[in-house]
Amino acid sequence: MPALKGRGFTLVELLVALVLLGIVSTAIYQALTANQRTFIAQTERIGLQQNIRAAANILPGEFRLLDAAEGDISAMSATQITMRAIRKLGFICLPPTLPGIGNLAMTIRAQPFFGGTSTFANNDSMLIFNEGDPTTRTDDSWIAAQVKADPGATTCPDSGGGLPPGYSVTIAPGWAAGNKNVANAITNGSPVFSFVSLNYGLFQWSDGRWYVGDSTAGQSWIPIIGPVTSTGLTLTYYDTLGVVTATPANVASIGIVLRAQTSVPVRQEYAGTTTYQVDSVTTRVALRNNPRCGPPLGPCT
Amino acid sequence: MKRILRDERGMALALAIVALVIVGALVAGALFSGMQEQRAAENSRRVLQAFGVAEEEAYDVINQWNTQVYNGQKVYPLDSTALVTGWPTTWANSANQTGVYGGYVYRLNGQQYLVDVTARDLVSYGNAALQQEGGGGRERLGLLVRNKPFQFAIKAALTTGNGDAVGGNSTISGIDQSPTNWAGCGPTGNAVGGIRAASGDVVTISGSAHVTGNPPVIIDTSVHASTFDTYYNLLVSMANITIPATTFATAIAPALNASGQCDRTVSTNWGDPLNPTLPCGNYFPIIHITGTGATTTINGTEGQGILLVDGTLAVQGGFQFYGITIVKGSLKTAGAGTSPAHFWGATMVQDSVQVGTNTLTGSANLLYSTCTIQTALNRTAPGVMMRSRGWVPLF
Repeated sequence: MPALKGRGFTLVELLVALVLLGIVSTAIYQALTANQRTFIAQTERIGLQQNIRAAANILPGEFRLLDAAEGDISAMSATQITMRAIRKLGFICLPPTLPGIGNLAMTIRAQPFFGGTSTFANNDSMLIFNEGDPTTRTDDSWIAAQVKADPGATTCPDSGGGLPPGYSVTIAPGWAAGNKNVANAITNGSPVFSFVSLNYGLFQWSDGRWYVGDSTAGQSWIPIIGPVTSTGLTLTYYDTLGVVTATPANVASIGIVLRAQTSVPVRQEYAGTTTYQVDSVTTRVALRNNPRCGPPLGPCT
Repeated sequence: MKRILRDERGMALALAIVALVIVGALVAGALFSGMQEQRAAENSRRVLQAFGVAEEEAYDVINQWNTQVYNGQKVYPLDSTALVTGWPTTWANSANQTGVYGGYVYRLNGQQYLVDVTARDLVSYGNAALQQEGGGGRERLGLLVRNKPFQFAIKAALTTGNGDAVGGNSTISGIDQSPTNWAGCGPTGNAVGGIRAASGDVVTISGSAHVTGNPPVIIDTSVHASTFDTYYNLLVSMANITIPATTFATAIAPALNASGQCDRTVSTNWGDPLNPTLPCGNYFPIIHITGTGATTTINGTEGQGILLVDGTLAVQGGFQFYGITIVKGSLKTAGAGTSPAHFWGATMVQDSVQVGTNTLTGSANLLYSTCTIQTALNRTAPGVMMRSRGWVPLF
């Protein structure tokens, strides 16, 4: 009995131990949760900033390439724009024979070719440089066309340069006012772009949140930036004088305001409740590819 | 000993260690993601910097367009011009010192070019450790450029602002002709007038002289001083060769340097139109002969490009010029030896003109040629961005 007597804890000892354990555990718990909150908040903030950065890269990158005066913007509003997005660039090494009716054949160089794939593809929408009169650039224009078959491998008939690889492309041109369907109006070496018609805009996705995304005609939206607030995208269109315009052909620059928010609510410092954190970016992009001269700007002297 | 062991039975130390590990992991995680974020943000900034450098330098290529180098190079894929000596292994500092760049100019056809510029931000370019980490911005940008030829309203083989006396065996023809030794001229165009003279001028044709064209002679009320002056001063400012009026005899001829290349430092080297495939065949200078009231006499042998003469030009012997000639004074030609023409292209003379005098014989011909006119204009034309869609990122 005397031996057992020496091994036990008194009630006071137990209580003190429990209290101390509780204090230490609470402190540790609070430290852990504070750290976790900081970690989550930081991760969310990083995600938010990456969203903003993506917005500052993707939208200006697409808008810079626009030629609004020649029909690249088909519809526009404060939250959405329907536009031609340039995707590929190639160069002709054997131009189509003009004047021509119906489908035309031409050869595109395999190199240089820009846009990720080896050449154009069946059904690609194209813009082909129309030189017209080579002595002036006033009449220079672009012919919209569509690729009508899978391009076939061939060679470029370069004089003195061997036979570098190329692709034979059959196109259906959509001759428009200003395009010249006359002999030599499309010259060897001329650039050819492909493009897709895209919507960029603000939309509410299936999770109930708002995103900035893109979509093609008849297809659902694909989110590319977000989540954003319900007023997460504001586009403003300016003409050459810097005045806001509602006419697509007059757009010379586009103002972008993007308000992104965190994907989950984050507790603010010293705040008892959690809220979505919001950050924004404002930028303005000059359209680089608008005509520099010619009607109605004046002659290309 | 037993007492010490009993003291070590507590879990405070273990708890503290576990807590420290968890807190440490969270802090380390936050630090890591924070650093990643900072790096991503830094890279975004550098990419923007590189983009700015690429765009600036691409536009600079156009602003400082080198007609003799870019316009004279062979069409892709036969030729390209590096923007920086030693490119692609050597980079050059950008004008604003915020990055480095390099690239090429490709000639796509007779009028079009691709300026291909790659740029990097300065910080990552000079920081090997940063490059090893994959840091740094790099952008590649293209500008589609085309020539902006001067728009001369050429309506005749010879346009004059004063009376003309055409005699001897000379021929002035407004029928479009291409030099037989020039490849790639394409089909000829419509005929223009033979002589187009200002209202009130008298054109006399005597001896065995021939003036042909559609029509042979036009007396045109729209011929004014501006017909000759419109681009004269601008062309003078772009001249590759400026020399005073003198008697050149037969000194005007192509010249090669020690390495066999066309020597463009020789002021009497005006290109080699008779041998387009030889080194000077691609050289189309703008030549300005100064000296209002002075006379320049040339006997031989050949030149091409745009010839601007402040005073009077006297051409004798077998001298041939291919391109556009603008004479502010008067023009006198005599003989032509066995050469088919003194002037291929278009000739514009503001003052009185005597072409092939009655006392001289030979074949002092002035032949209208759209091919030589267009080639001379294209080779001397500055580069400008395409009218639209000339700006393209290359990826």
